[in-house]
Amino acid sequence: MSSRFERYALLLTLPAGIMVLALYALPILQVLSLSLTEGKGAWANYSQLFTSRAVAKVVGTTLNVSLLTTAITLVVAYVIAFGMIHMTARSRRIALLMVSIPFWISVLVRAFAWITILRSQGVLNGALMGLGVISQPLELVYNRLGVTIGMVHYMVPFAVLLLYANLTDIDRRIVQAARSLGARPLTVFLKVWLPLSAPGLGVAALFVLVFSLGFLVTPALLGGGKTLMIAEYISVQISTTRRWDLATALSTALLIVVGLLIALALRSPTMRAAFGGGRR
Amino acid sequence: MHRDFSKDAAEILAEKLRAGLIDRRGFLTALGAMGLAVVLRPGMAQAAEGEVVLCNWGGAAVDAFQQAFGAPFTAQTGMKLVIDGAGPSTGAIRAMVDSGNVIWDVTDGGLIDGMTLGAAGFAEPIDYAIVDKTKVRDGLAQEFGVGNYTFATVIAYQASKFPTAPLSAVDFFDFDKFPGKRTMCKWVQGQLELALLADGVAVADLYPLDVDRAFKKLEPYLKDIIFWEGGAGSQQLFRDGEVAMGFIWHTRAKLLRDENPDFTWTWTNNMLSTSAWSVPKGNPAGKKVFDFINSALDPEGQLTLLRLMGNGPTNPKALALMTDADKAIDPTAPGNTEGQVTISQDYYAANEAELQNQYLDFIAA
Amino acid sequence: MSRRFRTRLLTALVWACLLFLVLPVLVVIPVSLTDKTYLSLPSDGLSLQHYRGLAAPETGWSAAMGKSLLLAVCAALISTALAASFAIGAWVRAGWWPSTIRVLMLAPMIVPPIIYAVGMVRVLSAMKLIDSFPGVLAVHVVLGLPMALLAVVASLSNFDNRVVMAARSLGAGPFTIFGKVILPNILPGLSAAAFLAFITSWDEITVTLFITARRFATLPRRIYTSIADSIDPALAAIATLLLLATTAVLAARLFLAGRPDDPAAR
Repeated sequence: MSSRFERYALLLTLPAGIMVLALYALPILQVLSLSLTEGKGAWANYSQLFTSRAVAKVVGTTLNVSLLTTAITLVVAYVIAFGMIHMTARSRRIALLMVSIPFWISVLVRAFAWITILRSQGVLNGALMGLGVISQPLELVYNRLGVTIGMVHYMVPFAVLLLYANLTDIDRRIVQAARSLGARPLTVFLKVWLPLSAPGLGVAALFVLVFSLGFLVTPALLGGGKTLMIAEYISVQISTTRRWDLATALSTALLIVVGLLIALALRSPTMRAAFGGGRR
Repeated sequence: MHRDFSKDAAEILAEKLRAGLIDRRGFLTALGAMGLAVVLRPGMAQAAEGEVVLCNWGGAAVDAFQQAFGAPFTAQTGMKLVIDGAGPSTGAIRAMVDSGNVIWDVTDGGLIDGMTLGAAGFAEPIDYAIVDKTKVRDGLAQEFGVGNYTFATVIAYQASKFPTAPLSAVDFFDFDKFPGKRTMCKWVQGQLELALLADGVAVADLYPLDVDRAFKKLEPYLKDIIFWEGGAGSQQLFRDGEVAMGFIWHTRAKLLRDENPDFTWTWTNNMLSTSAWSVPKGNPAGKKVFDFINSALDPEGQLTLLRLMGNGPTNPKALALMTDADKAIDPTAPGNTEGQVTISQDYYAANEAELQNQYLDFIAA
Repeated sequence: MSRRFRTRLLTALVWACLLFLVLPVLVVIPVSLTDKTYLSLPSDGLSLQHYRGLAAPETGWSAAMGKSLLLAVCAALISTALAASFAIGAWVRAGWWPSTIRVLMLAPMIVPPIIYAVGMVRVLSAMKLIDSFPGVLAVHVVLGLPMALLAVVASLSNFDNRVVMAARSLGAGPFTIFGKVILPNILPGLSAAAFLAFITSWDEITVTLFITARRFATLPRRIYTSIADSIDPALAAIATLLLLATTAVLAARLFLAGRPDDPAAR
């Protein structure tokens, strides 16, 4: 049974829905369907994903870097978001300004800024050597460490915005109640704040992980050619080696696996609530 | 020369203003027809009458190509050369040909890329009734691409970092005698050859490549090699002092030396590559593009490009016109070919995709 | 460890994390003043040449910035409107259709943009929209949708459904409820959505490179074609200008407005 109200609601979902179907789903399905016809045919294209050692390595690297990025990002972003809700209004504005500043700087420029800082004769190594902390420059970039630093820096502002939205929503009376009952600060944090911010953390984790899995620019620039992730691998297969069979099969597999993961994650009621899966 | 650049810039500006007007009108049309994106200015991506659209890899090459090839072409035929610096990757060409709406008439890509694109049906055969085959050296007039310039990947280094100059591929991998990080290219052509030369394989015996042997030679040094993806990046690694020696394009080595004479290179064991004019299938200007290609193979224009960017001529007649300074930066000039490896067209046309993926997998930590 | 000390330590940690976000970005300021023609810290002296280069029309920087700005503003507005409409609709009426579309909308974050680029070359070619403003706009709207949706949804999830029920029981029609009850309550989410969609368009290069040629050069495309030569310090100059502009706008708000409008301050 659907009321007039709900029919209107359905109508509201149509413009974006149609736009995404017509101008996203259709074009990429056209390309992804090449995975069935290109090269030696569907079976060969998909089975190579499982037999190729190179693909396994790329997937492993991508998972490794993405999970690490997600974990570090969440910690840093939580610290910032948690700090922000306890600030005075004025400090919070300054903090929000600081969070939003990186957004304005092109991802390319941010990667080059990190190279300027992290390279062997860069700002950081120069400072550390000047202070006498180290005698040899540390290898901070053109490796996986550099990629992770750059990616965390890119992801944190997004995660802060998502977490901050969630944390401001938490009813502070619960915290006050816990305190007045004599709970220690650590207990209040672990038993009140953390469980209540679980939906926000879940959404932020999902977002950062999914975003990291498909990241291209930062790993390519900061990795020195030695951190090969899925997005770059697929791009090379499209642009350079013209292995469209491999590129489209891998993309399709990626879409299906990650799509299923998201769908699964959204089955959990907290995630669904945080992700706007329906009225509360 | 500078005045020519400015004049050229003024032309580009005029083009941009015109484009700006078109975009604004396009924008209004779009607002008028929001959501009904149909039949908006049909044929807008088509080339105008009397112009040939060239796609190259952007940057200074846009102005340099205009000066070297555009100006003479316009003088000869009255047609205009328009340059798009978007980078004609083989993937972009295929996407464009597949879509049935080809914007580019002629692309500046590797001769080997031209051959593989042609074999896969994405390129027009070069019309040698119009293009004069004798304008290029033997082997550079292929069915789907004709050599437009040569470039070499050379061993470049920072002289002050070593007591003696590195002389060959063997020295490149001698980290005891020549300590410091190296940079090599992420794209496979020429990289394995360097390792094999260092391992004692003779230039004549390189092809077909012994891939396993090359990997075995490279493996111990991987941690000390940074892989570059584009010319600008390779140059930056030297400027930043990240690497002491690198295997980079000679055009970049020259730019580095112009900036700072401490950077220099040896021609020994350079890898000679040939770039080519190719024509995407269904190009907008049709046969007229071959008039351009024929014109762009003249020795004078190629010499202009050599002087502006260091790209070596493919026309054998160019050598007679060269000064000593020109010869010093031309990879095929006598004296620069010691231990030179000519990248094998046939080998890479058949094996490159597979080899590239093997190599990427190998260098990934 | 006293409570006061612990609080200070925590505060210091928070600001340290914030500095981690900002300090690396500030490197662009000295870099933009370099006397070299490539990206580097100034060594022999400071120079404003890269700012002059930005202003000079023949370099194409200002034209590209203008185009990108117009494009990003339009894309942000449309993406936000679409995302808001969708999110509200889906929030009221859950079901297979909104759920499917919601997961589908995240697809642009999963599938490498190069795949979308190849697909859009075909679609836009068929519609004769290659290298045109409407074509690029359509792509940027689609790519901005997931970001915008996320922001709106985050805002909606805070919204109490009882307000809607109350409005309905008082006889409010759908238009009143959507427009006068829900929409004003998610305004902060809408501005966040517009911001994220704007940034997505402002920074997009992969697909834009495939679907534009010489007529429609956005700022990232201008950057991309200049990077072929050297990593132009003009990039740092642009970044510095954006940095100053953002800081100025936000600082002005900080000192002029200064009203405690967010719930946590109440």
